[in-house]
Amino acid sequence: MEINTILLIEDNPSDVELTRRALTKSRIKNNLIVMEDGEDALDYLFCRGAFANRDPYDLPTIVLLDLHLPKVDGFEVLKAIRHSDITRRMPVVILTSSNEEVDVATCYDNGANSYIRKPVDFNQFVEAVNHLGLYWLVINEKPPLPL
Amino acid sequence: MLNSFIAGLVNNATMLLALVLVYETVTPKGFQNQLLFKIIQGVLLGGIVVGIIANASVLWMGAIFDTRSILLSLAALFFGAIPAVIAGLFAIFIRLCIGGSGQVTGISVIASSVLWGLVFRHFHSRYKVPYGVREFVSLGLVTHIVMLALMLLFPKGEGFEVLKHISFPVMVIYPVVTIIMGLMLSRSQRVKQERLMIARNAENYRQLYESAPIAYQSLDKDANFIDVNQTWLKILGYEKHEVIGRNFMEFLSPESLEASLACFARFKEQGFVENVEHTMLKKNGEKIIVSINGTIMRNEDGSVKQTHCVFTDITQRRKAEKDLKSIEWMLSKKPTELQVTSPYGDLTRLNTERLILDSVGKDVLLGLVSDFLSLLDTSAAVYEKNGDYALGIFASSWCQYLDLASRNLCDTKDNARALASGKWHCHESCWTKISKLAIETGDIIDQECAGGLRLYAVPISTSQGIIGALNLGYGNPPTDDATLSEIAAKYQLPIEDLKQRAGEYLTRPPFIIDQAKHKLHIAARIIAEIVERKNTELSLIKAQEELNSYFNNALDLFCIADTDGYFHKLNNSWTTVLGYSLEDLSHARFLDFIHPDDYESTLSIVGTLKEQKEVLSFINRYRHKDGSYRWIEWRSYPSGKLIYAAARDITDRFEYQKTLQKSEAKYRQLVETAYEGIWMLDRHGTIVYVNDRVKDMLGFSREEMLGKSAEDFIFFDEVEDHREKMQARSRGISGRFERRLLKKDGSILWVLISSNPLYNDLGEFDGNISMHTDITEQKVAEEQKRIYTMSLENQVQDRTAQLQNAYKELESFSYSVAHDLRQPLRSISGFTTILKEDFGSILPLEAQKYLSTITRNAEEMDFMIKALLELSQLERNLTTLRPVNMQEIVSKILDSVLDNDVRSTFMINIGDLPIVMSDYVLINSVWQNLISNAVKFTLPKTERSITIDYYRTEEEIIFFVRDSGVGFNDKYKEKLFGVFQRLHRKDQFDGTGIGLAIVKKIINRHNGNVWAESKLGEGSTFYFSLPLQDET
Repeated sequence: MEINTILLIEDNPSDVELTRRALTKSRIKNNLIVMEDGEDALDYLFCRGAFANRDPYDLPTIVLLDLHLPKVDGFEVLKAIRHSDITRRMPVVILTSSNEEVDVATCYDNGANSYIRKPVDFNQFVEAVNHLGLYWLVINEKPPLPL
Repeated sequence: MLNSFIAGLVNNATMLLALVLVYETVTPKGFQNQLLFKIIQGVLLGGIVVGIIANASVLWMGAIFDTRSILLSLAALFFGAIPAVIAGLFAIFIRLCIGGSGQVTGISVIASSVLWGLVFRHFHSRYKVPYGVREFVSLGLVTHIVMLALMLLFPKGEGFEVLKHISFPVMVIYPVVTIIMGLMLSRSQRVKQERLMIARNAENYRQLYESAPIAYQSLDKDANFIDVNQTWLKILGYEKHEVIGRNFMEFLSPESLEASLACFARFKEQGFVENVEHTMLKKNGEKIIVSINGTIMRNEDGSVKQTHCVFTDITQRRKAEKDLKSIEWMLSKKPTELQVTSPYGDLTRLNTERLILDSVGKDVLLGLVSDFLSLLDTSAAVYEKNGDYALGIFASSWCQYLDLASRNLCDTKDNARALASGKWHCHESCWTKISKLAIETGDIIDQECAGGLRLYAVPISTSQGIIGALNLGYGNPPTDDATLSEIAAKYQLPIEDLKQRAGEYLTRPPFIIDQAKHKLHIAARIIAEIVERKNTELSLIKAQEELNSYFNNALDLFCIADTDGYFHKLNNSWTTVLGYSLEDLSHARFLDFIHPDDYESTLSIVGTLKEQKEVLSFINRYRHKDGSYRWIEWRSYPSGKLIYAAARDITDRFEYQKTLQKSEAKYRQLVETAYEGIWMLDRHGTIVYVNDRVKDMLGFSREEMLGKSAEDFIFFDEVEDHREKMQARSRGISGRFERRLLKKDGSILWVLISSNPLYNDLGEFDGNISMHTDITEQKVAEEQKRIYTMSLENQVQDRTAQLQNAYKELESFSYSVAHDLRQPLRSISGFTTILKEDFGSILPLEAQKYLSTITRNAEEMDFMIKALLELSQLERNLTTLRPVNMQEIVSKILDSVLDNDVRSTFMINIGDLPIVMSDYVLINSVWQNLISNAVKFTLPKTERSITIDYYRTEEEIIFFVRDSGVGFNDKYKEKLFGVFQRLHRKDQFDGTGIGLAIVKKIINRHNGNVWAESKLGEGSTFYFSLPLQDET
């Protein structure tokens, strides 16, 4: 837990690549873990399946969550995170291309900490990721671990 | 020798004094018997005399001298004759024994001493002054001068010799000793007398204290009894040992205890009590009221030692006062008008039972009740059995006051609701607690009510049982604080009011109350009697009416006639049967109406009746007023000369047979030839008749159908229904329904059936008759129609579903446009940028230009997608109209579109724009598009002006944005508002070509129009109209 971990849940490899680059450009040197679908992400967070040996209290500092995911979509992932006693305080930032009002509302209703729409322009995207990293990894006080 | 004689005398005197002293102390006291006492006294004194004579001083043989004269004279003086004489006799006896020459002298001295003492005593007692020195000196001198004189009695001149020797000592010693001894006795006697006086006084006081008519008690500081007198014990009925040591409070009535404790404390502080009243308990439990006066005795340190109190029993006085008060009430009592109405209205209006109320009547009830109410000035109620009020009067001020107070507690204007609320305490007491109980138990109920008085309720019972109850209130309102405050709390009234009213209440004398109760009983009996009589009367009237109505209205003929052949009384039916009025028939000779052929038989019947035999069936003919004859069947009962007869006009029945035969033929024909199929079933459902038409309808011949069950011809799934319908017929119910029948060829025949039950002569169910109308064609048409309708509905549903699907598809399409299409765009843009960043240095300039083009195109596509989305959202979202301030929107947009530097180069005119009903978000978008377009197309010009204003027509309000921009060719203006339509080249003016399409869509959704005018190079004007809404 010494190194802050960022969990990116994103199925599109291009977007993963772009996010990784944006983080690098923002000099955010945290450990980036990528889960390509909702099911894997939940397995990782709750230490199931392939991640059964993981320490369940070793939580990422922040989760960047896309809404459109194969198998289990982003809303379900968010709900599962908020329903578990262990993960419910974990900051979750929605990072998506949707700007539908319905989607924004549903995310906040389900306890998203932040909602960021991915801009098409890469420079703007880098800027957004930069702000995001600065805020959630540096300024924001981490929630206490649940017992 | 003389000296020794004198010494002997002194000695003797001393001995006397000593013996007298001893005597004083040993003399027994308190003898009741005075004579015995005096004898004892005498004997004792005699003893002393003997003593001193025995120790006399001897002058010579036979002449002895001692102090006997002193003792005897003083004994006579102090103790009177009896002891002195006894002592004297003792002295004489001993002197005789001694003998000698002085014997005579000695004895005479003894006698004279006693005598002188008695003489002094006799004269002195007249003055009642205690003996003093004067008396003793004179007694001493007189006694002893006489004694000296008596010496002369000595024989032969011995006397002078003796005188010579003793004169001096006797005259010196004897009087002195007499004085000393006299004083001694006198003092002792005075002491004795004083003691006696004190003892007598004490005894007097004691007697006074014990027998005084006032009770006395003494308590210690803790109120324990120290002493009480006999009167106390007599009043309270205790023995003294049962009282002493116990506490005063144990002898108090419990209700007086608290006040008494406080009073005792105050008493100890103040040091006295005056006329304080306590209620005490006698040993037999009786209560008495006492009035106590007393003082406190204190120890030297000021603490309470004990109390001295006296009291008198004032119970009788209180009772007398009370009696007096009740007499006062009687004297002051005036005849009062009963107040029947109360402020909340008449409760008897709620009476639904009305047995007592209607039978007896309000006025009579009032009269009955006022009989005892006027005696007592109290309250009374009469209840029906179910608790309804037949009467309720509150004549006593206390009842009126409390009843109204508890009525107000109910907090409703509706009396019925108030009665049911349970908060109407007076009603609760009067009905629920007391009168209801009287009705339920049938007993007299005498109980305390909520208001502290007593209620006396008596059930009203008739031979039919208890029909209600009657009660009255009596007794005095409570006066003690505890009960009053309880009532005050319950009724929520100020306790001062209650106290005052309770105080003002005048006690009614007990015999008046008894009288009123007695009258109450009588009233209850009268009410019961009246109700009972009324009942009997009503049922009699009813029976009479029933009889009359039966007699008059019965269809049968009734009459009373006599054996002489005359009608007496007839009922109305006769008028219809014979056509004559009742006046014509009454007292007419009935034999005059009889058909000549029946005359003889009728006469013989009358003969039978004369013999007092009844005639049960006899038929003859009577003449109708029109001359025709009616057949009459008789049942007659004789009763003396009178005949009671019931008769029936059977003419119709006689003629019915013929008519029936005729009509049957008629109907048969009708049935046979009817167009409807007709069949008859017996009660088991077997076909017993079919007409010809059935054969045409079903194809079965009559023979094939008769005797078969109707079920054989009914479509199988309707058999159950057929059975139910048969059941209904058996209950006398007709029916009309549709039914499917099986034709001989196997096809189905739809029929409309009208079915009626049939009865046999006894009126029993005997099957049914049904008419069948063929409705097969109609039914087929209906079925066809039903199928069409159903398929039409299905089609509509299908289409609706299709439309909904299409709509959903559209929605998900636009959703994926927004997301799925933008994702690759982002990748294109992203990786192009990365390429430029990472490999820009090694790429040729041209390649870099291409990369920029790629990026720009991606951005443009993103922009177009966004615009498209916006447009599609417009389709999906509803418009919500509310007042929108156009002026405000326009100002805001201008501020955001033009920064200050650029703005200064524009001439901008904005009219006074109104507030219009519209969708804020959408109309905002309209202005945004129009204003940014105007700015965009004006910027290239040097003369820059924008005018925004509006005007009204009759039905619309029209806004416009006019610019001095580049304008457009007017012939393309139709294309302006299409999607992705552009009138300028991309390199000239930026834009998606979708803004005006959005404007058009929005304005159309507001039921308005949008249009534009322009001249190339001179500027353009864009208009949009909104329909005028009502100003509200």
